Amino acid sequence: MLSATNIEKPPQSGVVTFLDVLGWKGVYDRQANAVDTLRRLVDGVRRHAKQMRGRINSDIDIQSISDTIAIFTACSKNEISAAIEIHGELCQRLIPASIRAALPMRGATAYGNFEISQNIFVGKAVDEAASWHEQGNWIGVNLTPSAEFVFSRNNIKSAWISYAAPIKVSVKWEPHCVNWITNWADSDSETEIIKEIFLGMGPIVPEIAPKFINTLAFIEKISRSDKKV
Amino acid sequence: MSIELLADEMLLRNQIAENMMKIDEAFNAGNADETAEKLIEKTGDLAHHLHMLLTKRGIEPRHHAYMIDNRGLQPDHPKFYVHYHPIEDLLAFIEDEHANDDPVDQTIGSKFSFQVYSRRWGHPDTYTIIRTENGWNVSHLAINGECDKGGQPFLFRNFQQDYIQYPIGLERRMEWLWDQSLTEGLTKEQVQDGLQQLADWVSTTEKAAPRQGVWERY
Repeated sequence: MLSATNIEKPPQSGVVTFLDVLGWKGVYDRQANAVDTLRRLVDGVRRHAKQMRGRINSDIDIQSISDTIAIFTACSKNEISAAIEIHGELCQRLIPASIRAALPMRGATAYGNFEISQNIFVGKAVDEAASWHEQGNWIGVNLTPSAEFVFSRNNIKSAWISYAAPIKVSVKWEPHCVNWITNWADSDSETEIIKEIFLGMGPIVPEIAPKFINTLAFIEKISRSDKKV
Repeated sequence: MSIELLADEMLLRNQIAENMMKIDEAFNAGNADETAEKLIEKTGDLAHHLHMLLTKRGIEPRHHAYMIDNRGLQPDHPKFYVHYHPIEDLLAFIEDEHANDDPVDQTIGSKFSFQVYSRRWGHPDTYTIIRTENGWNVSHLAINGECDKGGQPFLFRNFQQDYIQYPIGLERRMEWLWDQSLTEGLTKEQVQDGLQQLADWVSTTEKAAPRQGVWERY
């Protein structure tokens, strides 16, 4: 089997996405069933990933530790963009689901070597995805430099769009980010629902506020550009 | 093996299985780019040949709908099997002809009962729940209507009407049961059992709510 789960395998090349829940610390005060909810989100990604079989030759491996979800896809050089696209599509469904569950997630997708032994992960792609996903100052997912350098967006329906992702390090760039608001029938009412969910997650203290505000800014900009199309 | 293979089909099947092991080895050795891709191409031709032989004698291999969609080709297309996963699924089909069958949603429009204890009335009440395209239709006496997958709003409005205490997590489990009914093709009996377990959970919560001492006046 081409799964990344095989034990004791040499390093593989491929795409790695790390996501974690914003505000997981202290979540037990906010949500009595957070563990159950997060497990359901992980199960949902696994089910969705299974439906991607037939697009690239390897299986997609979904791992979870605490509030972190890690997605691994080994791929050949010819399949890199297809693998990144698949990660985008998985996140495209996961991000809104995580918001609805009041466990909003942020993440980053990298490309490079990785190695998995049971639930121990190492490799350049792991280091890169892990460090960049913590820099995200919003609810969303962006490509890291390694993935950005090799990704070619050749599908008009791509899950990725260029956007100046709000990250904590000071760098001016517009990496590809997951467009998770695609297919919204009514962006105004969807935005209102999201604001209500954010309100329910309050108090919106200064440490949290930028993440929500940056997310709403993303929604505003992308839905406005969609309307123009 | 679920499908009885003829001699020439068996030869092909064995060759395909052997090649798949070599492909695994190539991937595990980090040779995904050249060795594995060449082997997949070669094995895909063999798999196509086997598919056509089986089809000719009325045993057309079935594939998941998502696989056909993802490949963008019909299974009898010469290039359909030039990929690891459809070859893997062809071998699985030979082992078990139902291996690639997609679950069928069997319970849209089915009617279920949801019997829940009401302390207000001192007896169990039976709600009627119909599984719909987008959620559930809940009805009990005067409070009825279309609900989402989690049972909002009318399941919970019925509880509120009769002051029935319910557990946190009920809504998410209702939603999960709806999703499972779709993705796993649960039978009517399985859904009914799942719903009644939730109703029993509500009854337990309702009965366990404190009512002694100061709570008598609550």
